[in-house]
Formats: sequence, C-alpha cells, structure tokens
Amino acid sequence: MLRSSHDIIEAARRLSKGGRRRLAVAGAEDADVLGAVRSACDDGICNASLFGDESKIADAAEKNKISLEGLEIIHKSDSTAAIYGAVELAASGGADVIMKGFVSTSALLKGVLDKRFDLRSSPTLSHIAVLSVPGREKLMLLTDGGMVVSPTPEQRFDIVKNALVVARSLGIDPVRVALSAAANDVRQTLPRTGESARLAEMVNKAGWDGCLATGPISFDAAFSPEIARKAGRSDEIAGQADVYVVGSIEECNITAKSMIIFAEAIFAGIIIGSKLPVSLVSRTDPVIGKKTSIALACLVSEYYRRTGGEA
Amino acid sequence: MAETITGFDQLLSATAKQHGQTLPLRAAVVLPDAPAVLQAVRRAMAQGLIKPFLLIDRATLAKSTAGSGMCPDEFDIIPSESPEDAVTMGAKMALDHKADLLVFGTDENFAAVSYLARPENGFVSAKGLLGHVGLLEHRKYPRLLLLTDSFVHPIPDINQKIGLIQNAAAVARALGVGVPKVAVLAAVEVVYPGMIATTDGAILAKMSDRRQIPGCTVDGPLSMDCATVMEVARDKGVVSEVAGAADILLAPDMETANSTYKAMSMVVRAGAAGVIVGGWVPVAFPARCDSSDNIFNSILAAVFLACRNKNWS
Repeated sequence: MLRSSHDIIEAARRLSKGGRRRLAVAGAEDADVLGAVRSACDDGICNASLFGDESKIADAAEKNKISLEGLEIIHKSDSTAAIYGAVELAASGGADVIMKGFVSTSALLKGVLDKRFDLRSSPTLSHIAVLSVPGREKLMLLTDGGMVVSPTPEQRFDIVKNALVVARSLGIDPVRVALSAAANDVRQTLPRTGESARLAEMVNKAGWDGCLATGPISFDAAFSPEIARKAGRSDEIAGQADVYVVGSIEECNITAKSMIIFAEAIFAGIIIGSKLPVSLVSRTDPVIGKKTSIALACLVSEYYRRTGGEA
Repeated sequence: MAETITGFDQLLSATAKQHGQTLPLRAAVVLPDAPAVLQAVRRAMAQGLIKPFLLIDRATLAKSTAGSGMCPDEFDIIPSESPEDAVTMGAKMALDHKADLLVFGTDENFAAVSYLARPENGFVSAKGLLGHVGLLEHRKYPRLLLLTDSFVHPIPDINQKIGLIQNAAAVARALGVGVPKVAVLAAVEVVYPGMIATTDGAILAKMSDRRQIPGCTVDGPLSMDCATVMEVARDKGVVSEVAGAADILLAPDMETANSTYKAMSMVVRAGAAGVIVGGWVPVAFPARCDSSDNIFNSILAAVFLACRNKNWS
C-alpha cells in the first residue's frame, strides 16, 4: 500500500523498469509543465511526447534552462490540434497517460470524450485529489473537487466507483470509503446526511470486493480514530477512511486547498472515468505535485491495463 | 483604536487589558460532553475569564468526567432533566440576563443550533441571523482568518449570505480590523452561470461595490488559494483588494465550511475557535475535533465578544 507522494513516485519508477510508460502532453508550451515532465522523465517514471507549438516549446525550455533532450516534440499550431494529437496517440495505444498542459480543461475533456476515440469508461468523468499530508500515515483521497459541480446521487455513486480504481491502483485494500456530510447522523434539516446514508448502503451492496463504505460522516470522524470514537462510530471505516466523497466541488476543492496551503500537503490530481487517466493539476501547483500526478496516472493506467478498470 | 488582534495569545491579553473590570463573565456551559471541554472551562475560570454554570443532565455529566480524574464538584452545576432541557435553560439564562455568554460542548449539537436559530425562541430576533464564525490562526497567515458558516445554515441563500458576512465582519471589526476583506469562496475565481457559488460571489461583490454591504469589502468568486495566497492570485491574474489578503472566508455552504474548519483544526493543527454570533449573547461552539486549547480559544473569543456587548449596553 502506497502511503505518500514519495511512495507513488517510487512505484511508478519500478513500474517503468519493465518498459517506460509514455506520457502524451496536450499543450506543452509552458515552463512549469516542461519542468514537471523533464523531472518525471529524469526520474525514470516515463517517456513523453509533447504536443504543441514547437517554437514556443523551445522558447519556454530555453528561457527556463530545461533540456528537451529525449523528449519527442510533435508540432501542433493550435491548442485544439495539440489536444487531438495527444488524445489520438493515447487512443491508438501510443501513450498510457494524457497530461493536461497549457490548454483549457473543458477543451481537453471534449477531446477525451470524442466518441471516435471510445475512451469513456464510466457515465461520469470525475476528478480525484490524492493528498500526501506530512505527519499522516496514509494518503487522503478526496473527490470530486475538479469536475462535477454538484453531483446527483447517481453521479456520486459513479464517483465512488471511479475512486475505487484509483485506490486499488495505490494498493489500498480494503478501500474504506466515507460519504460526507456535516453531521454524523441522518437529519431532516441536512439533506446530504440522508443521501450519504443511502449511498453508503448502495456501495456496500454493489458487490465490490474489498470496498467498505459508511455515511453520513463528517470530515473529522472520517479521518481521526479518536474523533470517530467520540462521535460514537464503531464501524471499520470511521477514523480510517481512504476516500472521502464530498457533496460538492466547492467542499472538496476548498478543503483540499486548505491542507495544501497550510499543511504543505502534496497534491496529485487526475481525471478518471476514461480508459486512460488524465493528469490534471493547476498551473500554479508546484513541480512535485505535477510529477506525483504523472506518476499516479501511470499507476492507474497500469491498473486499467491489468483489469480493464473493473471496480 | 486598539491594535489589530492577530492571534489567540494577543486576544487573551487584549481581553484582560480592555475588559479587566468586566471579567469574569457569567457563562452558561451547556452540555459539556468531554473532559477536554471541562479542562478548557476550568482554564477559562482559572484565568478569570468566566464564572461557569454547568447545565447538564446526570448521564452526560458522568460521561464527560469519566476516566478524566476530574471532579464535577469543583463547578456550579444546574442539573437539567434532559439535553433538550439544558439547551432551553441556557437560552433562558441568556435572555434573563443571567448569563453573558453560552458555552457548548463538542458534540456538535445541531438540535441546539436549530433551537437557538428559531426566532420564536427569542434567542435571535426576527431580523437577526445566527451564524457560526471560525477563527483560525496559522503561522503562514499574518492575521486571524475568519471562516463562516460551519454549523448553522446548510445552504444559505444570498440574503443569508449577506447576514453571515455582516456577522463575521462584526467579529473582525471587534478584533480591530477596520474594514474587513471578505472573500466569497468558490472552486474557481471566474464566474460560470452554472455554478451558484460563483454567481453568488459575483452578486455579493457587486453589491459590495455599490455599498449595499456596508462596513466591509467583499469580493468573489475567489478560490481558496486566490483568497489567501498573494502569489497565486497574482499568477492567475486576479486583481482584487481581497485576493491574498482575506480576513473573512464565506463558504458557499455549511458542508464546505464544516470540512474546511475541521481540516484546519485537525489536520493543519491551526489555532482555532468557533463561535456562534448574531444572537442575544455570543456562543462558544467548538467542533468535535477541537483540542482543549481550541475549545479554550472558543470560550475566549466568546468572552471577548460578550465583553464588548456588555460595554455597549
């Protein structure tokens, strides 16, 4: 079981010893993107194909003293062409992972979901944040803080299933899934509590081996055994959650960012629900986060390859 | 004008300095459910901040002292018949001027919050609005960061959001922030018509521009990092007086505020305090995960605010 950003990077390196994974970068004309790709390649995590404007890529690399040696550059004059180039390469088996570079998320998703490529594997595409928080024993998986704005119960169910793929790729077994709410019991005044209770039951009855769900459960009771006890929770999930499935994009995004900003958590983000994981972090995220995202996406792609992405 | 209070140590000394003659305040401690709560109450009593009355039923009292080596006899106890009874009695003591503040335990008593929030129970006026304000202190941020609303309004509408902002702004001004900067949080810092958090942010920002929300500067939508990290705001091209320098974070809903407060208190280990304001008296309302220190901070913040109420009336 991988427990930190360091573990994720090491696991991806080991994986690449049996043949390097290939990364297709959509929109590589950005110094931070190039820096992360360079670092991931130097670490032996992957090889990379860069899609974007060749001269702008060269400029960005030169200005920031990033070597392009060993990186394949495929010239595309605009961002749509860069996206389709990257997605096409991945869909044809020429790349294992897509990385969002200097292109808009919505344009990239349009490319990934283009029916011609047949990459969709779930009715719901979702984003998951894998946080490596200093001082914590385990990774914290939070979803969805980047894709689905206010998920319906059906979408939250899909989000859980998508998250399972990521958790399993990280060697987490069993996967303890906590369905969020502000309170730990079902209250009429808090609609999410009832929804999370029903979802927990659905997940537990879905027949997914090694997946345990509980809800409603608040953030602190999900992640601290002591608080779980105080809240009167005695199930096997409370206090030891691996995945926290929140109610809205804002809850996930703002909670995760609080820990990134103030607890110096390392954040790796990917989009799942497609047959190929898409590494998606924001421009302003540091290189270590981007690199961990690439490594995480490599691990998830390997899991897909082995299992077909079954939960 | 006193200097701006940027941390809990400073809040303690300012409370003693500015309000020494008013202290200790009478605190109705409703359902102290855990040893950590009693420890914080004892500390606040020892520091001369409060004279506590514990409103509690026997069963809860036994639970809150079990195994702690604490003796309940050192406190004045007003026995109640049930937890509901304790809440009603606490509110009544406040309304009858027999308590200057309320202190709640850490069992996140949503039923009590609902009781206090209903105008017919008298704790909040028909025009008033109850709201929870978290105060967060962290070495990476140069001032106290206020976060609202983790416990009262599940899905506040725009008018309630204005009320929550005004509640938090009053706390910030009490702390010496002249014109508090309020960030209306969302997942992004641009407006998408399909994302209510962003459109509410834009509406509140424009209302603030037009001086419809007096006494503070509101901007939104802002992401958490744009609100609190100057470099990120600059990098993302967000030009805003609030960006990177927020005093107050307004979360789009209770779940967001609740998880964020808990992440800050429990994972980040920020100094934290939780108070419910907007009612007849301030209420110390810590979260289940708050340490005894943070429970003490909650009492301290409520005492500080209550002293100001007293001095005005």
